[in-house]
Amino acid sequence: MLTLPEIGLYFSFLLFLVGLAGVMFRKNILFMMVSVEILLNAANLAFVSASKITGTIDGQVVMFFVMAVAACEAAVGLALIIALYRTKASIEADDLKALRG
Amino acid sequence: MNYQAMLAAVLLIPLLGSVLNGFFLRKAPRLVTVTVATLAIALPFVLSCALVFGPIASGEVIRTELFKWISVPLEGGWLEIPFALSLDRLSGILLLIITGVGSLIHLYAGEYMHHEEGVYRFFAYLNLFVFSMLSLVLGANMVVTFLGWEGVGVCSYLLIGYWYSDEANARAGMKAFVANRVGDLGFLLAMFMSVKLFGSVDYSAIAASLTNELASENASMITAIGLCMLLGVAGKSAQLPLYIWLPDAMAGPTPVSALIHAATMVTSGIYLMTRMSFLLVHSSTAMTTIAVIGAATALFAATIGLVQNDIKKVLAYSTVSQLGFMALGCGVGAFQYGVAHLMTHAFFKALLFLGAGSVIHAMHHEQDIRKMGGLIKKMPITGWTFVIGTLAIIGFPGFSGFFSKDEILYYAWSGTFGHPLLWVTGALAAACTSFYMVRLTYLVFFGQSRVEHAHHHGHGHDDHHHSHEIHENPWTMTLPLVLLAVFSIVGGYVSIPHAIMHVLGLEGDNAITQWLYPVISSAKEVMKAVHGDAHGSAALEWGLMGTSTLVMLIMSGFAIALYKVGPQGGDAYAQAAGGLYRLILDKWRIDELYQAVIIEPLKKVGDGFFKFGDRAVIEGVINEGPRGIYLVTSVLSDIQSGLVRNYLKLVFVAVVALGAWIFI
Repeated sequence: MLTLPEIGLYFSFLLFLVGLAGVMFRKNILFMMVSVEILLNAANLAFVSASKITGTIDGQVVMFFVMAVAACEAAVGLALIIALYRTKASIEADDLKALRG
Repeated sequence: MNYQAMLAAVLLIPLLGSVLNGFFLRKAPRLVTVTVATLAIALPFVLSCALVFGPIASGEVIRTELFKWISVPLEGGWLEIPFALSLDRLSGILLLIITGVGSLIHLYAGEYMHHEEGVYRFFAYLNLFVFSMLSLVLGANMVVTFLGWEGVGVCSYLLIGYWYSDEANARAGMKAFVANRVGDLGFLLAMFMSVKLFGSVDYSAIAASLTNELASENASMITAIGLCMLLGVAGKSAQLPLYIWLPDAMAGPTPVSALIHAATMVTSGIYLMTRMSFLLVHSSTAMTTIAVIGAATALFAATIGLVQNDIKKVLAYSTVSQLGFMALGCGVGAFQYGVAHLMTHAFFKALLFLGAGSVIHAMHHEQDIRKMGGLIKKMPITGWTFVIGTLAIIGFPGFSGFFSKDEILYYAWSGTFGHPLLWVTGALAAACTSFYMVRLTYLVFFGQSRVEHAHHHGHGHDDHHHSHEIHENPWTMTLPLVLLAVFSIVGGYVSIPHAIMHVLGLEGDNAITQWLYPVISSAKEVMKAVHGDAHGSAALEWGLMGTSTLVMLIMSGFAIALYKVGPQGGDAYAQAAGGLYRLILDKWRIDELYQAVIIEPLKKVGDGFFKFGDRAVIEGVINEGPRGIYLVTSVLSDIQSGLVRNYLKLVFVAVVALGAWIFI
């Protein structure tokens, strides 16, 4: 029978896949941002679960750092999206192909 | 001024004239251009006279080294080739002809070309030609001679194609250049073999090291050198089979035809053979080949001359024919008479060309002899000097051609390498010469005038010269004619036949033999030692002389009788000859033969190289290489889609692959 931290670990893997799929297949940058948040939280969940399994506190400490970074990222990312919308009048990722080779 | 400096000045003044006219006097008035160009040749003529009649006549050889030129390692030592000049009696004769006849022709050309725009170009080329020709004859070694040899080829090309806006002229220039290049290959090979055999290209050094033992040990090499040299001679001096360029070269202005294609450049082959006579006589194969080629050329070209209707074409074929005579003279071992004929030919052929130019000039560029006639009344000086030239070339007794040509014919029979058949060929050629030259002279200057006046109207130039009346040209054109006519008469007295000398009570050799003795004595000794004495006699000489004179008189009389009624006089014979006549009219279709046998296959080979080498290999590499790179890079650049999701997908795939590689 799986223990709770183990379930958390597997769940974090699934969550990561969901976030990854969201970033890969979503075309709206806003949803991609949300998916990135899911990715970060999947990582957080993995850290916490691992911390519980190993009985150390390091993973939980790192989780706080990640949450702080995620908050910054959200702020900066949303600002970028707004700036983008002002110049391009679109937040579709496929419209942004200036780096095409 | 010492002799060495004078010699250098003789060579360099024409070059200076060329540079002045070509670069600095382009905007100068015509008179300045012409004066500079003429002085650049006349001044060397004065110096040449001082040199040749001074130290050279008393037996000196003037040598001067302008600078060290080429120095290459050769079998342990060094092959040193300085830019050295050497003036001996042979180059002395050529020097006087080039500068003397050259300055007359420059003077003449100043008037002849007065319609032309930008005449500086013409005179720059002409002076450059004289410079090249002088370095050809003054070169103390084969390399300097070769420099001149190439230089005259280039100038000839430039001057034949002087009116380059007409494509036919440009093509004629190109033809001359290509035919000459074939010959140049022979000269180059001969030069390489002399380096191999003698370790030197200096004429006097080769002459000194060529002993009879060396010659007999390397007999095949000597023969090869001789034959390669003959190829060079055939190219430059328009012998069979490379003569084809000379008739086309008449596309150039007439003074060019007179200077380059009659008096000087085309005789450089004769000069070279005489210069190398000490070597050539060691190989009877080479000598016989030269003689046969010469005789064949003389006859072959003379037959074509019989039927031509263009005044310059007739003269062109007669030049080829006369060059054949000179080669025949050299080939049978009578080098001095080859040179004598070179000299007399320079006088009378330059005279004939300048006379023809005078007619063409007065008739506003009409060259068809069927549209002339009776011109002697309107142009007496041109007419009578032309008659003198004709008498000289057909060998009328007392005129220069008689002496030089009959001596060649006599030696063709009795010379060391002579044979009666060579004489027969030569005599036939002389008979044809008499016929076509008298025909030409008669149709142009005598009989009824057939001049059409209508065609003058459409002419582009309008100046005072445009009166419709044909009249004599100014003194600048007639003075050269008169002087050359004088020399065409007296020039032959340097080679009075032995038989006549005997009658006159003169002892010893004639002037040309004595003069050239230092140059050809070693050749004579070899011929005497190896092949014994020449087998001539006074009776034979009288007989041959009488025969050829008789033939000449008959053929001339025949020509006059035939063309008394005008150019249609020969039609009956032309019809009787039928196909043969048309064949000769088409110049034996040699050009067509070369076209089919050499040029077309060459074109095919070239086409093959173009298709394989250019199209397949070079263009293949150049076009397909980048195309391959483009294909690769287009795949790579497609990865850079610019879509963030795609990059992420790649990251995902990569991470999965990396994980799989690490953990499995």
